[in-house]
Amino acid sequence: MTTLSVPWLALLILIPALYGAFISRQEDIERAKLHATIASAITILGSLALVVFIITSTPQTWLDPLTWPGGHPLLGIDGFAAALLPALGLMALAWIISTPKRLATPTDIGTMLLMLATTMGQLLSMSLDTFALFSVLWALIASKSDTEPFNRRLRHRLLIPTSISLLIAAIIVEVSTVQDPLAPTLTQGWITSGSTLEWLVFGLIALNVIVRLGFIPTQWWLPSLMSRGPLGQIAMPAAAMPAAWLLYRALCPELFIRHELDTIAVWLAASSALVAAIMALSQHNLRRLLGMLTLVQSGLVSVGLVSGISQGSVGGLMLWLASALALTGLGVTIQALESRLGSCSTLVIRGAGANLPQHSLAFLLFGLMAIGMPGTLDFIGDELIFEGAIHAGIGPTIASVLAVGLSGIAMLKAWSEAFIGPVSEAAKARVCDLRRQERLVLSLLIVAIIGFGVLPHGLLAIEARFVAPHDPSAQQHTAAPAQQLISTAAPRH
Amino acid sequence: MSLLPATLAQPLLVAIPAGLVLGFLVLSAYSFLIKPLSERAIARHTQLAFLACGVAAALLLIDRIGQGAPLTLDLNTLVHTGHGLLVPSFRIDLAAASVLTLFMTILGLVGRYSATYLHREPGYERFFLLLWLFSAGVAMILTSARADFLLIGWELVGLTSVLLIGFFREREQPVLAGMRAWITYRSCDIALILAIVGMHHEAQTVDWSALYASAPSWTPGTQWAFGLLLIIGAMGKSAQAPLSGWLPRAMEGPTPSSALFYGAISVHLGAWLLLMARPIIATQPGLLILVAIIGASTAFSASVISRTRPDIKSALGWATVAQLGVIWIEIAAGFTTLAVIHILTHALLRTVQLLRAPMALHDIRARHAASQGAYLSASAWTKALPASAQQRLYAIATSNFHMDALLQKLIIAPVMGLSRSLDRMDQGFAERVAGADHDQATLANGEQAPNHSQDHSTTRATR
Repeated sequence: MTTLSVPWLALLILIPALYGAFISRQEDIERAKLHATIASAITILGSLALVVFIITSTPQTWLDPLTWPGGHPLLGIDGFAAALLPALGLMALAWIISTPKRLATPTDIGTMLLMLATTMGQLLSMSLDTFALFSVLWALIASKSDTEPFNRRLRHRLLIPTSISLLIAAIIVEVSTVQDPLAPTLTQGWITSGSTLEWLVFGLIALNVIVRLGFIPTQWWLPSLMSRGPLGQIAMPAAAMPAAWLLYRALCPELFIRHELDTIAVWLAASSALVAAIMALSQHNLRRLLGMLTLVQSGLVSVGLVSGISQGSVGGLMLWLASALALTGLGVTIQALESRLGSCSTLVIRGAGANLPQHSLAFLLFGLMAIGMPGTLDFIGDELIFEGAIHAGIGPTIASVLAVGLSGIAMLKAWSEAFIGPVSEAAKARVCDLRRQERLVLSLLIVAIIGFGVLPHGLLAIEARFVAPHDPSAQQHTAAPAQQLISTAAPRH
Repeated sequence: MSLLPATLAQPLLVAIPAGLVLGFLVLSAYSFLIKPLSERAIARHTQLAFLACGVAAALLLIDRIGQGAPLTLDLNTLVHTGHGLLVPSFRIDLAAASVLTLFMTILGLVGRYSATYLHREPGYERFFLLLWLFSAGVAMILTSARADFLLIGWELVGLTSVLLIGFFREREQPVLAGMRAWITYRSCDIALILAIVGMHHEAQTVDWSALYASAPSWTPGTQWAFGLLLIIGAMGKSAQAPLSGWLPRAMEGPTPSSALFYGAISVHLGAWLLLMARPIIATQPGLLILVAIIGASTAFSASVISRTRPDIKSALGWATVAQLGVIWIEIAAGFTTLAVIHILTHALLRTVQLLRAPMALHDIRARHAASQGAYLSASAWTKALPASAQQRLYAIATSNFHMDALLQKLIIAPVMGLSRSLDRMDQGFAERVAGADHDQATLANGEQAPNHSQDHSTTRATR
């Protein structure tokens, strides 16, 4: 673990944050989109430079020189986070470029950048207080920018309190002897004495993870939120799943020691994915469908992360990255479709593919990528996650495979209802197909997903910096000691 | 002594699936990003590619004649996922080379036929692009040395089948038929994936040869579980009872695709999977009996149903299912060479029959004239039944032996009911937390989802 000489990580967060604040005050939407495009492009390039740096450097974890007043680290990066950062930038770029000008204001575009900054902040956090701070900021910005009264109420009554609960956990860690669950200096699990305060912090973090990843019984909020309001601002942070990072860094080391809790976590994640997949079957609203598919993916990613073996962890990372990009592509397509036809109900826009063949193709491609069709990174991720799940038990494996299978049925059902068949009145409207910039961002996303899917070496090389020093085949079928599992899953300790 | 040196044979083995995948990607990218391909261009590229693949497959076939051991190639050192899964690994023996050669030849012939048949049809380019992807999937299945690599081809074949069933998008029925096939495929794929993941967990590998060696040492429960899952996985594509209903419906697609998918190639891939999995299934005699029972019940029911169908494509579809049932019986009985020969001959016969199907009326008139007005009579065994039994059998056959109704009642309806209940419950929770929303009712049933983007912009403008 080494400290960087320049606060690159802070700068990486500050660039979109400052641009976001600047753009929100502008009045010209075209200029706002241009500035936002530049900001997200800079973020992507900066992230890629970091990826190269991480691959070629010896230490596995790098800390930012900026610290909290107490001296504990503020931000840091390892191979796992490095793999996700460029994808986050690409997601923001896709949403910014593709958002139709007539449907957005500079504030919306600025909010997107602020969302990017706070999401990156959460992924780069090296202490619980940093994570909690970015989490609260994220919840407040999202709430302020959402103009839908229903969504604002939902955010005020559920998501902001959940984020504040994390802040309370961070305060407890600060004022008590409880170890910081995200501290890079930890060498083993952070619950040492089993005191009430430690378990309280664990419970608050678990609550945050459960709510934000949409595990049962809290899976209802995301599809409801996505059904209305600005899609990009809701879909982007949902697909980025920063709470999965909290799960992996703060909860997994403890879960791997306490097998009964780990079993519960695997079951919870797998059943959440299955329930979301079942619900997706009857969806006629494409926005809600996107919400359901996001829940399926976050459940599957979590299954991989908490499975306790390296296959699962790597699969979780792969699926995390791939599904974030695929769901972004799907969301962009749904937004484009809605902006043209005025609805995203499959019962209204039936047969839309007749006039909008490129929309139809994009929806099909990204939908297939999101459900793990062969040749994509999702497919490899899914296979590795199943390997992880079977290590945890046959029940979660069946639930995970069923979730993937059913979400595939739901996706193609929605596609066939929306794009093929007899053309409805609404779909007869004379509207343009995908614009050039929409085609461009969608192509970029496709190249990224297929590129990693066909040749996953690059991603594995990045991931290897974090999860490498072990032999997965040797551990796969042995009940590895807890300490060994921790070192497999979280060698930062 | 093999005909081709390994340095030539091994690249040929990889070149067939890889070339087809690459061709599909290049043509799709060109069409999507630059300009749509002309009819002539795509047809010529397709025919050329299938000709090349056919020649490559024939060379491999000649190379494999008289060779006991299969030709293998493991690309673990070239492409690896780091965890022993999804390693591109190829294997071909005489049986696989024979089937591959025949399938590539049929693909080439049907590609040529389609160039004329689909002339000026909207979706001409789409048809040929899907044909590329389908052929890549078929090549992967036949040349795969590992179960997980087979799954890639398996999924590609399933997807392209479904997209071609719904080729005529302006009509309702092809779309519904496509969905029916997709649901069947996907449900059976769940079993196949579970089998692959489970076998990898049990044997540390999914290489077919290693699995054959490992299977006898598994516990009886494990052998039963994986055997059952593999059988279910193969049932979908082979349209075995009670999952046969999708195949006759799939004839809604264009005739060339019906010939390729549901006469010649796709339906036989289920039998191919069963052949590959047979050494694992054979560890439990009970499983072989089960395969035989499934095959026999399929052969009987489909044979009877086929005789009650008034349209030629549907009748041919059911007749195909009946023959597949017989192939399953052959595999269960251990006549694997016979099963491969049956696959080859059946594929050829059905291709010809289905490609001739548009001229069925013409053919019947010709036969009618040749027989001087005498119509062909019912088969002898049908006549042997009493009239009441004939009527009863006819009634059951017209309802497809109630297979579709049972599946609808026992599986599809309960799952969809559960889905709707859970969805309603979810929206109820959201309403309780965030308060009632005037959009909620409309969003719940999807009758008319409001344009939120437009509403959103209006709200912004007002502010």
